[in-house]
This record gives sequence, C-alpha cells and structure tokens, in this order.
Amino acid sequence: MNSLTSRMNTLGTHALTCLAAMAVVVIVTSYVTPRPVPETDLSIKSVKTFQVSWRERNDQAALIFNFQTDLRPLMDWNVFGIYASVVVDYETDLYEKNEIVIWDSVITKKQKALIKKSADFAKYLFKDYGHDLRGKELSLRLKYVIMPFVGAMQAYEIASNKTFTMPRNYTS
Amino acid sequence: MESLGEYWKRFKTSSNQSVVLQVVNLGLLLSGALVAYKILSFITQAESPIVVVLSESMEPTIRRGDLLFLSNYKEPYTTGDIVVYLIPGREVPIVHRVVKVHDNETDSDPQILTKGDNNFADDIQLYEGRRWLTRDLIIGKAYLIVPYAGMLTIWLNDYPPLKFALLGSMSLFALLTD
Repeated sequence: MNSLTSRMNTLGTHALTCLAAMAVVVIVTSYVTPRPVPETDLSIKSVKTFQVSWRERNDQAALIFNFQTDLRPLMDWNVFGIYASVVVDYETDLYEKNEIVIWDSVITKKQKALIKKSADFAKYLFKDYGHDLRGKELSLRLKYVIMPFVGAMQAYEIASNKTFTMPRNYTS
Repeated sequence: MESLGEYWKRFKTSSNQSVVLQVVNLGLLLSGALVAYKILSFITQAESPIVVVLSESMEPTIRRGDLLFLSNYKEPYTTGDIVVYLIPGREVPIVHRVVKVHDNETDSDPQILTKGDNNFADDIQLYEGRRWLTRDLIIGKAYLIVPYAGMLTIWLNDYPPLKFALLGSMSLFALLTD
C-alpha cells in the first residue's frame, strides 16, 4: 500500500496535475486580459530602384519606408516573443490577393520592442509575381504574432491608412 | 517496499492467465495511444498532427527539440503563418514561415514563398526547381509550440540503444507491475 513506488507515483501525478492546472490558468488569463493596441505609424516614402529583375523577369523594387511602433506594452509575462512584420498588399489582374513581407523581426527583448525607422530601406526587395507593379496602389499592414510561453500563438494586425502609388515607369 | 527482484519473483510464480492479462493490458495501452493520435489527426485534418523540429532555421521562434501541433484545414494561408512542407524527393519536412502569398478568393490555389526566421535568404533554393510552394506540398500549419517537449525523440533517434533500453524497460515494467 505505502510502498516507495506508489508514493512516487502519487507525488508525480500530483505534480503533473498541479502544473497542468497552472498552465490552464495562465492560458485563460492571457485570453481574458485585453491586449493593448500599439500606436503605429507606417508608410512607404519612396522607391529607390524599380526594375525588371534580370533572372526571373518580374518587377522588383527597393522601397524606402517610415515605420514607428511601440510593442513594449504587449510584452507581458506570458509572452516569450513577438513576430512583427510589415506587409504590402495590392491587387493585380493575375491575383486578387498579393501579400508580401518587406520587413520582419522576431522580438524577444522588451528593449527591442520600440521600433523607429524613418526613411529606411525595407529589409527585403519588393518582388511581384509578374509584371504588374507599374502605377499600382499599395496598402500596408503591420502584422504581429504573439508567441506565448504557454498557449497557442495569436495573430493581430493594424492596417495603415496611408497608401502609396508605384511610379508609372521603371528607374534606369 | 518491493524491489524489482520481488516483482520478478511474483511474475515467475504468477499463473499463465495473469501473464496473458498483463500482455493484453499493455496492448490496450499502446492501442489507446494510437487511437488518441488518430483522433487528433482526424480533428486537425493533418496526417501528422504532432511533429518534432530538428533544425535551427526558425530560431528563436522554434528551437531544436520543440514539439509543434499542426492543423491542415482548407483555409487561406497568410503571411506570418508557420507551415510545415515536404518537397517530393526529400526525406525531412521543413518548418518555415510564410512571407509571400499570391491567391484568388475563388479557385484558391495559393502561390506561397517561405523563409526561416533564422535564415538570410528565402526558400526558393529548397523548392528543387519550383518557384512557389503550393497547397499540395504543405503538411500543416503550426498553432501551438511546446518548448523542448520533443527532445526525448531526438535523443532516441541519435542513440538507438537508448530507444531499445527505454522501450524494453517500459514494457517490462508494464508487464511486471499490476
């Protein structure tokens, strides 16, 4: 009845039950507490180069953008990291939905969660599927995925009210 | 306190009937685990609803040894999703993040580009001649990361003797104890 193995078994299952109950409480609290919406300013300032790529023969541009956001209030005790990305959206004859990430970062430290970029190069080249970028209107979104220590990942987004129209001609 | 030797003594003296019962119990336990896995697979529509990550290309989001829970519903993909895909001819599936999507509302056939959070370049080189990732190559989308919970399977794969030792001792224990 009171053998060592049975004691260890009881202790082990009790510890596991407690841990599981704690995890559930943590998950519930992080769903119940409202997340603040970070103040964001996001716009494309200009196009540095705009060409047809030599190899794939599709439109590509180097964008210069302004981006400011403060994700620090989102970094609470159950957040181990935030995947933040700037997404360009536009429509072409070929595809209704075109989503392209031009900047992204995985933020794991609170000090790094304040982002200020003015007239900075986008991290990635902006490449179209085909040849449809000339004169196209682009809209922008900040998307961020909150990655908790315990619980499922949650994705949020903030649409920028500023749009940008691509030039009518390629730069040489 | 009962030692293992006493368990063994009891096992040797026990009747054939109880040995059979123990074997059946062990089988029941194993098939129960299999049923649970298959039910999860059915609910999430993913052929492998749980995978262990072996690479470090998604650090710091996903570390080697993390356990991923996947779902594979017919929903549109969007940037920021973490997907697992398998290129035909390759053995190991890849876990990376979606950074580009071209898609239509009707007749959805998304053209996807992925990239590892820890890699500098996108995945075109990994697609073996394809320009885009398509739905048929995707095994699932990650919705839950359990840190390091898959470390045991990595050790078991790296040191095969450990696998037999663990399986052997577990079956032995299940058979001997009641």
